[in-house]
Amino acid sequence: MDGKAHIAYPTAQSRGLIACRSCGLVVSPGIETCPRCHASLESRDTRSLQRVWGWTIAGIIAYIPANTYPMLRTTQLFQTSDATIVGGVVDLIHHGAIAIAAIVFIASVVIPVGKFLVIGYLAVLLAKTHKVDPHRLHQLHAAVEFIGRWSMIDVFVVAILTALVQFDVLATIKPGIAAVCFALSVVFTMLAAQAVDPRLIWDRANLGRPH
Amino acid sequence: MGPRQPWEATLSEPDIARPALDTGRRRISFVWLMPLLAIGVAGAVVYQTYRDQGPLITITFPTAAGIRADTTELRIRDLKVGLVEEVGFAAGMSAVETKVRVDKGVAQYIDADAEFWLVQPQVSARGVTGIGTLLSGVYIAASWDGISGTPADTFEALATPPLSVADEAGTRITLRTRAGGQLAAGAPVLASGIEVGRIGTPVLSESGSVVTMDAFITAPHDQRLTANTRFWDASGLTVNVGAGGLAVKVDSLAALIEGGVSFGTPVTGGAAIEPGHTFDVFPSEGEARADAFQSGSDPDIALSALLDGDVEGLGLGTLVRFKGVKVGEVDDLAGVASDPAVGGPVRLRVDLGVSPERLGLAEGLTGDALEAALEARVAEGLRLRVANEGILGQTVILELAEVTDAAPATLTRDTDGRRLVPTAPTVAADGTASIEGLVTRVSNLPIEALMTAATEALSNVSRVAGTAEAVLAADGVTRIPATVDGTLAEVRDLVAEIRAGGAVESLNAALQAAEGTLASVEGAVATLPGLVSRLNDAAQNLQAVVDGYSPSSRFYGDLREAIGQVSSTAEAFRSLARTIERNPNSLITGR
Repeated sequence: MDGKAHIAYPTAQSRGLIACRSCGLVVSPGIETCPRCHASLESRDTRSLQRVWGWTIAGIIAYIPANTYPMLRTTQLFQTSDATIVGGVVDLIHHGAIAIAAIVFIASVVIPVGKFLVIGYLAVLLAKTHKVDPHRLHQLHAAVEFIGRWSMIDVFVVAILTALVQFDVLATIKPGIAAVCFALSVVFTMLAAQAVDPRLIWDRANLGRPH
Repeated sequence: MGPRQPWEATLSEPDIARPALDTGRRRISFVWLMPLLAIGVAGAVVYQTYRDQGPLITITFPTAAGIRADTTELRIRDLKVGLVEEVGFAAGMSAVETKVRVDKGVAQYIDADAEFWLVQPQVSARGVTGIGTLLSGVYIAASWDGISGTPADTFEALATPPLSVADEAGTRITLRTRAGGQLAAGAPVLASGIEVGRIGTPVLSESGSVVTMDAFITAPHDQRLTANTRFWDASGLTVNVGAGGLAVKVDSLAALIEGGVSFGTPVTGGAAIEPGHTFDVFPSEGEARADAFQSGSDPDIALSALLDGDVEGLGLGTLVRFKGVKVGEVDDLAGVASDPAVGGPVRLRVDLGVSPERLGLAEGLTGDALEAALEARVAEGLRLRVANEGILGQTVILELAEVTDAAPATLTRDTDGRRLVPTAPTVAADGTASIEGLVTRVSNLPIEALMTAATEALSNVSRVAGTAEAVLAADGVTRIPATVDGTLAEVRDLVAEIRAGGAVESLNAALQAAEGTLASVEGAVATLPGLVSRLNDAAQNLQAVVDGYSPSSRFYGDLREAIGQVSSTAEAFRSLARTIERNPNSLITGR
């Protein structure tokens, strides 16, 4: 197999150029930093997948306590109750707040789990040449990067409740350890999504067309 | 070949230098530190959680009463030291089993003497307790001492809060009473009106006649407890009606509703008591103080005896006298079959508490010396017998008596180790002191016959009087026979004798005073037939006399007066006779 076999799409690399990931300027090789935005230039991030895996695993590890430990510790008139994420969703459903339960469930469970799966899928796929439509993969990656920040909605809810509900004896809400873990998990997955070098999608795409 | 893409032509351009790829070394990214760090932190947390986790203990409750898993706390001195992890049924669904995760720091102190109970809101006469649990839910309170022992992990919860928590300064004692109905668990123990302790749950003794309860006297008031201390029932109201007017006394409002006991130590110098000392609760302060002054400091000794036959009137608290002095009382009564295996005639077992000092035993005797002394006394003839007491012999008492001619017997013990004092036959009820005897004797009096005779005599007198009237209406009364005077004197004597002999008003008092009075009644009654016959004679004499008197003489007036007296006397006598006939009891009761 010759070197061109799997390079189905023209890239900056294939033209002997380096594109700046920051500002998009295409420059000739041999320059360390982008003359326009001073970002460091690298034709390909060879450790991209390592970083993806690293952050993803860290994110998954952080996501376990985020679900097993209490997210909110509510004290109402001497009575303290702990609520985990899933427990809170179940409580909301029992109270009839289906819509809010759905929001919390999507933001706290569906999106993070979906991100792990998507990032894992990309990382597995990009380890070698693949036959998936690189346009689709690119869209998938863009979506993961975009949606990642919305997982923080749960952390914001906790932060706001904690700040607002401080009525001493009547009612007090304190963040549980899960809130920290969840925030860390979200941060790690965002970093994992960012660590994916989208140029690999195109590099490793094998359209399967004979030459 | 498909249509060529516009950029595909460039693919054939051969000589474009490629930018160098950083592929020289397969470096390992620093990012891998992150998951390692995360795993490290998680592992450390898991390890620490596991290491800090205290043991799981099981506490059994009769009912769950608001206990919830992961919510109900275990507290000691109101500080959380554990959390209920699981609530379920014990084997056989006989109780509720809770599994409590105890903090590691206190786990070492949980040994067999740890106590657990449920704290719930309670409203009582002394106030409201546990009100916080209304909002926070119930919690399990615990009490254990600060000494670590062999760890235990299964406990049964107390039904009520314990009398005292571990390490609380004070003394635990036992109170014994016959009327426990007044006292409820938690009722106060008062000293000089100040609450110094509390009462535990009253427990009925096996025989059902005595109620015992634990009580806890807090320090420093427990210093006042000595063997001379007496407890009395301070429940309810004390109302005294006396010369000073009406006095109503309530020891404390709580005692009014829940009952309570007071104590005092009227006699100083009593021996210090051991925890668990048993005190009797007297019905009133007066009795308690009287007892303290009377009895010595040695504790009562327990004696028992088996009585044959029907001993009516014997009950709890029946006095036991020795040489006329109260030495104790009956603590318990029980019917026992003479042969437990096959039944047989039931005998009455009486259990006595007797003051050894008043029995004449040396002070401070204990153990074998006491047994020996008692045996010696029994050998000398100490027996228990039923006796009667009281003005009319209405009260049954027990008497410890030294019967000199008693059949030899020894102090034995029954199967439960009770000392059995041999008994002596009941002293035959002294007739003069017994109401039965009195009634028998009264009913044996020939009252019926007597009354018939008396009535007859009186009708004779009446007839005589009527005749006399007629006679006096006629002329020719010329002389006063001395016999009339004599007769009138006799009639007066008769009346006086009846008054004295009958002595109806004072009969009761007389009976109560002595048997001599009854003898005199009997004497008086015995003379009645004689009197009646004399009365008859007198009437006949009178008739003879009046035949020769004229109504014009001065004596006529006297005679008329005399006859009027005889007549009214006779009338009085008749009414008395009828009263007695109708109601012989009036002779005794005086009305």
